[in-house]
Parts: sequence; C-alpha cells; structure tokens
Amino acid sequence: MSHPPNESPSLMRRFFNSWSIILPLPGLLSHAAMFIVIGSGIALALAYDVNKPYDALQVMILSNPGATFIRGIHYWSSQFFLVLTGLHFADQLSRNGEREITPGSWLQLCLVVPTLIFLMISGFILKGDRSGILAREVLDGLLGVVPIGTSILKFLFLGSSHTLQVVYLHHVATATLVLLVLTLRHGERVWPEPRSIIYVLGFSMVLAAVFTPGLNAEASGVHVRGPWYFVGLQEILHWTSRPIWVVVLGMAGFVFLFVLPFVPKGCSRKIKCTILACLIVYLSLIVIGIFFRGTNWELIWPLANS
Amino acid sequence: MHRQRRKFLWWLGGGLIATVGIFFLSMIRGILYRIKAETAPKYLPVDLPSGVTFHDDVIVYRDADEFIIMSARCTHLGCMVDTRQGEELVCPCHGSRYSMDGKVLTGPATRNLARLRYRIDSKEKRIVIEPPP
Amino acid sequence: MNGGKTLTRYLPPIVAAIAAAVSLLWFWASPNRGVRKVPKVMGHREGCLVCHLPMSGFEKAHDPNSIGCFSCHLGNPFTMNKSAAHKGMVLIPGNLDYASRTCGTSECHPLLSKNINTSLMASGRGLVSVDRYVFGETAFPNDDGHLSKLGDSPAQDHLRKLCASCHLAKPKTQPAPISQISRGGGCTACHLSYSPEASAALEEYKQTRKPPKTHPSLTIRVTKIHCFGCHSRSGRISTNYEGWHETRLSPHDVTENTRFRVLEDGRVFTRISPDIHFARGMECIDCHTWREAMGNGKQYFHEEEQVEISCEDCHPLRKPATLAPSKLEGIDQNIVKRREALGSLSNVVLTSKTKRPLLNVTVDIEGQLLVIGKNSGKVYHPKAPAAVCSNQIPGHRRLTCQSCHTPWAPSCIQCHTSYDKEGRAVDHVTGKQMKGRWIERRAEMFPRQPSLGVKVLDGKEKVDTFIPGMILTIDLNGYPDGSSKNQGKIFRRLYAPTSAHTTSEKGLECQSCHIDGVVMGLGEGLFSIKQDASSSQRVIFRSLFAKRDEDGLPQDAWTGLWSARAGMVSTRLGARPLSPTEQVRVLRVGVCLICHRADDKGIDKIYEDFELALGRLSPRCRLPDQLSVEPKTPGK
Repeated sequence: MSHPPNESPSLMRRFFNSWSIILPLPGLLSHAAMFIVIGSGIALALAYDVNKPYDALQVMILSNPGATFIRGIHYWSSQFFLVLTGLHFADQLSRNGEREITPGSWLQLCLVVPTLIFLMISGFILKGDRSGILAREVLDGLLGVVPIGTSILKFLFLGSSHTLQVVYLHHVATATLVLLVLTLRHGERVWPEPRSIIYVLGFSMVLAAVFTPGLNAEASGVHVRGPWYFVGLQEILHWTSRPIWVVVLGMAGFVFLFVLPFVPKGCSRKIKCTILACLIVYLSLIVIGIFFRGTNWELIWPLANS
Repeated sequence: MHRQRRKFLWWLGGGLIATVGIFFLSMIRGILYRIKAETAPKYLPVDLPSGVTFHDDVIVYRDADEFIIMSARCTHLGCMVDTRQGEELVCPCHGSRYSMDGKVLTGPATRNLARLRYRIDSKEKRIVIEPPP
Repeated sequence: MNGGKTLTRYLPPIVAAIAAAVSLLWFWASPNRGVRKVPKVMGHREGCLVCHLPMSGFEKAHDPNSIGCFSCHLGNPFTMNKSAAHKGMVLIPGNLDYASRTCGTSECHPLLSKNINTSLMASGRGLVSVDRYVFGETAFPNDDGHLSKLGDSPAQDHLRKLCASCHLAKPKTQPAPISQISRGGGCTACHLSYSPEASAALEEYKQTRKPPKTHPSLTIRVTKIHCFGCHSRSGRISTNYEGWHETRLSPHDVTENTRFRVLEDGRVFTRISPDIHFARGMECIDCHTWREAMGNGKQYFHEEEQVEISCEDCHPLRKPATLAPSKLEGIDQNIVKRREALGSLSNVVLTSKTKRPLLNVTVDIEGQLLVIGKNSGKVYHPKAPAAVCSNQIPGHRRLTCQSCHTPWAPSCIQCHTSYDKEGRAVDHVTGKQMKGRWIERRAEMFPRQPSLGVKVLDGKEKVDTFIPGMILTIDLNGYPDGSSKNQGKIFRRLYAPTSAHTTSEKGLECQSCHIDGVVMGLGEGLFSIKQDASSSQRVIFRSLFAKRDEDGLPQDAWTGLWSARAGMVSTRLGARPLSPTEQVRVLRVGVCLICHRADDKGIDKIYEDFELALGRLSPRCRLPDQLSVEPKTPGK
C-alpha cells in the first residue's frame, strides 16, 4: 500500500498519477532509456578513438552526419536516463516501495546512484575537450581526499593522466555491466517495453536533430562549466576549501538513502523530505551556476553571459 | 557433511580470489611505478617572454632573468590553472585566484601553487623541469 | 479515463512518426553532409576552413592554412551549421576588449596584448588628466584616466563629445581600411592593411553578402597612413611632419591643390616646410619603436615620458652603445626576423634614454652610424651634430635639439568653449547621440616659431619648445549641474611642451630666439630700446595683441616681460616660461645681435665669452639698464 486509505495522496503521488495517464511510468521509461544509451553507445564506439578522442569527435561533428546523429541520441537518451531514474526513485519512495523489497536488493538499488553518476561523468570526460579534461582533474582531486591507497584508487577509476583508456573501459564495460546487473534483477522484465522505447528513442531523435550536442572549442581562458547536473557541485566546491566535506556529505546522503527501510515511517518521511529539500537547493545552485556565473567566476546578471 | 564441504569450498574460493587480488594489486603497483619511471622531464625554451606563460601543467613566471616555475595544478582539486585576469591567475574549475608568482589570494584553494625544481641548460638553451617526486 | 486510454494508445506512434520525419529532414539538411576533408590547424579541426578557404591576402605569419580562422575570430569551429559557427564570433579581433583572447593568447602575442593596456595610445590617460586639470576638476595634470571609461563631470563630458575616439581602446565596429577618419580598433588600428584587392572584396561583400575570398593583411609594416588620422589632431604632428599647416578655409574656398590639401574630414591645410626626416623619405616607425607605441608595461602620465628615443640616438655626440643581435630578447628577435628590409645586422644601437635596442640603427665596420628604413630598406646616413651642438656655447647646456631645430609649430592663441544644453552631440564612448553639445570657437592658428620654456624631464631641467595649449575661456554657465563649482567662466593661459615634428636641417639663427617676443613667451610684438630723460636706456616690448582683462597679458603671450607667472602656467607639472632672470640673459645677447649678427665674420669671439666681451664694450654700445648686470642665478 502506498498510503493509508484515509489519507489524501501526497503531491508526489498526485504528480505520478497524472504522469501515468499520458506516459508509461518513469521506471519503464528509464529502463528503455538504459538500453537505448547502451545501444547507441556501442554504435558510437565504432567512430570513437580513445587514442585521440578530441580529434575523433571533431571529425564526427564536422564531416559525419550519421555519427553526429548517433552521438546526439546517445547524449539525449543518457540525459533522459538520468532524469527518469531520479523520477523512478521519487516514484518508488513516494509509495514506500523501499519497504517492499529485501535489504540486499535495496542496497543494490542504492548502488545504482553512484554507478550512474560515474557513468555520466565518465562520458563527459571522454569528450576529451578542455571541460572534459578539467572534469577529470576534479574527479582525480576528489578521489585524492581518501587518505589510504590514494594513487591505486585514482588509477583504478581514472587510469593515468596521459590517456583516457581506463575511463573508457569503465564507461563502456565495467560500469555498464555493474549497472545492468544491479537494475535488471529488481524489475519485472529484462527487455524494455516497446511503448517506452518509442517514447525515449523518439524524443531523443528529435532532440538529437534539433539540439545537436557540441564540443568545447577554446583552449584556455574562458570560464568552463561541467555538465549541467554537476554545476551545482561545482558551486559547492567553489565555496568550500575542504573538498573532503563534499565527499563525506555525498556518502552521508547515500547512507541516509540506504537506511530508509529500516527506520520508523515517520522518521523515514522526514528523511525523504530532507532529501527532496536538498535536491531543490541543489537545483537552485545549478540555476545560479549556469545563468549567474560569468568569466573568471564572477557573478553576473543572466543574458550578460556571452 | 554438506555444510562442511560448502564451508571448505567457500574458504578455497575466497583464498583463490584473495590470491588473484594480491596479484591484481601488484599489477596496479607495477603500472604505477612504470608510469612514474617513464615520466620524462619537461623542456621549455629559455627565451620565454617576461611575465606569466602557461605550458599545460606548468606555469612560468619570468621577471628579467629570474624564473619561478610552478605546477599549474590548483591546490584545491588539481585543475589546471590556465587563465590570467589582470595580475591574477584564475582556476577555471572553482575560481581560486593566485598571484603571478603562485601565492594563493582567494579560495577555495588554501595553499600556494607548488614550485617545481628546474635547471637551465645553457648549451641547448632550454629550461629542464624535473617531474615531481 | 477513456481519454487517457486513447491518448496512451495513439501517442507512441505519433511520437515515432514525428521523430522519424524530423530526423529525415535533419539528415537531408545536415550541413556536415558531404564534407570529406576537414583541415587541421594548430592541433584542432576547423569547420570554418571548409567554407572559407581559399582565402588570400595574408602574410605568412597569419595564413589561415597555418593558424585557421578560429584563433583570431573565435566562434565555434566544431560545427558546420552557419549560425552556430558564427555564434560568439568576433568580427574585428584586434579590439582591445577581447584582444587577450584573440591576438593575445598564449600561443601568439601575450606580452604585447598585456602591455598595450598600459600604453598611452590605448588609454589617452594624459589627455584625460590634462583636460580635467584645465577644467579645474583635479589639482594636478598627473592623474589617472581612460578615454573609454569617462564619467559625467564637465571635463569628462567634454572629452566624450570631442576627444574620446582617438585612442586604441576605442572599439572598431565595422570592417574598413584605415583612413584619415577611422579611429580605434586596437591592434588593427596600426597593423591592418587593405590591399586594393581586399578593398574590392570588402565592397563586393557589402553589396552581395557573399563571403569574401581576399582578406586584409595583418602586417608588421605599419605605414604613415596608419598614424596620420589620429595624429592630425591635437598637436597636428602627422600633418606638421609632412609640411602642412591647418587653416580655417573650407574645401570650396580652395581651387588649387599645390598649395592646399583637403583632408577627408574637410579641413584645409596649406603648405609650409616639412620635417627634414620626411623630406628624406623616413616614416614614423623609422624613428619610433614598438615599445613606445605598444607600451613597455609601465604606466606613464604623459607621452614624452613614454617616448624612449632622442635625437642623440641617431645623431650622437659620443660613440653609441651597441648590442649584438644574438643578445636580443624574444620580441626584438622576432621583429628582426620578420623585417626583411633590415637584412642581417652585425649590431644594433641602444637608446641613450632607456638602453633598449633600436632595431634599425646600426654602426658599420667603419664606425659610421646607419639608419635603415623599416619598410623601405633604404639606408640613411644621419649627419653628425654640428660643433655648436656639443654645448660649446655657454648658457646653452639645457637646450634640447628641437629648441634650435624647430622652425614652426601650429599655435592656436584663442579658444572659447561653451555648452549648449539643448543641442545634441555624439558621445564617442557609447557611439550614441546625447543631449548637450560643446561649442568651440577658435582664432586662426599661426605657423610660428614655438616659445621656449623650461620643463623637468628625468629630474633635470631642460629648455624646450612650447606652444599654446591652451589659452581659452570655458563658459560653464549652460552646464546642467546644480553645483556652483560647475558654473561661471574659467580662463586659462597654459602652454604645453611640444615635439612639433617640423625639424629643420639647419639650426635657427641666434636672433630667432634671442630677440623674438614669441620665442621668449611674450607673444607677437616688437622690441625697442628707448632712452628716457635721464639718459637711461630701457627695453620696451610692444605686443601686437591687446591685453586681456583677466590677467593683463596679451592674447597670445605666455608670460610678461620681466615678470614671473605663478599658479597654472602649463599642462605639465614643473614646466614654466622663462623666468625674469632668464629673460635678462637672453636679451643681453639679443640686443647685441641687432648690430653684431651671429654670422658676421669673427663674431664668435663675442659670444664665446660674453662677459669678457662686455668688459670691452665700445662707448657707442650701451646695454639698457635692465640688462646691464649679469644675473646671479648660478649654473645656467
């Protein structure tokens, strides 16, 4: 039961109830998105060259319309996958779905969050342009806050700084396999439903055609922004001199997510509200970072950003 | 009997995985040592203009005949500082600012840019920058 | 609920159909379809070159086959979509607003792009601080200021509407060749050169909007055309240099073009004598160095501080210091390589003021100093200074070369400036028409010998050439500002040091300075010696112009005979007219020169030791009383 029969449904429930009138539930859509990302990623890998990634992408964008389109599908379907997975979590948490599965299964599902984040950021790094290289440096720096076995840990996740080989390996193989193993077990189906595929693929194709993802051109000197979902993190890192707290905060968030089924319902509701509030704050930081930050990290009015 | 056999198999399996794990960690260490040993020194021409110039992961500040050679890695999270605004060096990732000779001015970084050891090779007319230890 | 079911039933195929249609259309219209080869320059691919090559007109260093388009014009090189490619593009990369991202990136010209911002040619700092000083807004003419960052006071409004276009930081907004009326453009103000083909291509582009195939070149060969426009204003040094003096005629008054020249802005100039260096074929950059124009990183208050050359560098009194080309630093090395006209030199001469290399001045194996035209390659053999220049005449130690070698400079002796609050004028900072107009009325400018005055340079006093800059009345009664500080009339009588750029080959004759009212700062007029009833003789000066009520001095004068001025006398701190003592010393020689001309035979005996000569004065010669006693001021 998602809620006691005499209570009116929460805002979240009402939102997802309306959603399900027009579209399949987020879980089904995100499932389809995952397959489309993987499929388009395999296709894209044929045109990608990890030895000269920046050049390979430039050639793709400038002279290969098919590759550009596939890349666009891969990009947009991955954005959909991220957002729809988030909505799926919200959907399930709003109906207390975490209490209906075993603790082991819930742990696996919580592990989807860092896996998905790693997949997104590794994809961004694999562009090989200035923003991608700098994102790698930031991730390298964040891994560096771990006090023991730092160089081994950094190598395991990111490899050496001269090549993107290890990042590529994890993006196309390791993290993808882990994601598949973690997600496919909990759902009712292995293969996505056709309706969801059509929606996600259809919208990805339209967006890939209309808003082709680009590539960072300038070599230096201009304010660089990470992917939109990490701009909030960039803002947080701008304000703190101790990145270890960001790592600790992230891990605390994970722990709070994991303990949800094991605490009383009232407490669980409070934790969920806190997580939602943090998400709203994070989204506001994303808005500030995108629209109110100019060159050299100065605060500006939006539209003054050229 | 079954329980004992299962226990034995668990221990055997665990031991095998632990052994492979040790080899795996040793492999990683070997890779890291090789990378470090093969890291060549960086060479830069000696007639760089005065003021600040950026060279990937190295920043050179020249004042007449004196050089200050610094790592371009921001001491906050290791991003490459490659932007200059006026008399300040700015990290593009999170906005830390340094003076031209690497002293931290504004956070989030709290430490100065690391100074690198170098020597001038007058014969080849170049600056030789040793890789950091 | 039924509606919901219908929606969920039909929406997926609708989405699929739209997606397929959009994608097909996109593929059909995709701009990167059919692109086979994408050129690679400076480590990256550039879509720009697919559309814009071949492009001619460049010199080798800026060939797009080597540096592409993106490194100068920015935009997005990683797309074949035209509007996306041109988004963020910079039309005129040399503008100083973003020169640090275009010309001044770390791979190209970072030091020059940094230094240019300190150059007076970019900021016009001296212009701003002197104008504010004249308006009484600051206590000293040495202050900060920038012609692109002006506020709203009367002086700054005056600068906005009359002066603020003549500096390198003024952005150039439309592509066009450098002309007499073009202004600003940062690096391109000096380094852009339109060949006839490039000009034709630009005109064709304006008509047809088709991308041109010929581009203006970016060149180290800066010519006098680049300097002429801005420097034909203010001190008029570019027109002076070529021997033209500004009149108040209008173009339709002029029928012949041998004596007159009409500039593109409609001003009419008449022929006077050109500078000897111009007559010999030298251009501005044959003397002036890159550090002077583009800055050396130091901030100066006024232009004469930023100039590093002096006459003595090419006309030395002693053997000049030289440097081997192998010891030249970065930018100097590059310039020597790029200037083919210089050939290979065995040494370069160093400036006496700053000990910096003059890259086109050398000493040959016979010890002869040579100057090489930077664009022409022509070799000049500058004459050694005359014996008289090596301070052999007592009392002339403080004189600069131009004190004796400047036959004329434009002297504007009267100006009236008032404010019309109802009128409209263009604000040169914003480019917009604004309310309020400054009305300037001025008298004729005279091409006359400059006055001599004293200025302080590098801590030393020098006697140098000065012209009125300015003798004016500012009427602020119309200025819309409530404070009483900005009301009423201001009268100023200031002279400014000038380097007139009208250098003559021969020095002026002694009497040109020693018995001339203008040179002494008294204005036009005649000297006479009158004997009074008691038989004492007195020097009288009758000025041509009437005296002004404000200070009792003639209209065109800087100072009065036997009087010293206090307060605001010049646009430079420490500069002043000749003191009464100095006037006496000048006139003591001057009165003798009336009869004993300096070019008479045997006359140098008189002026070599003047005191001795005075001791042997003939009874027929009597010095006027005011001049009979040697002033006691030491060392001059």
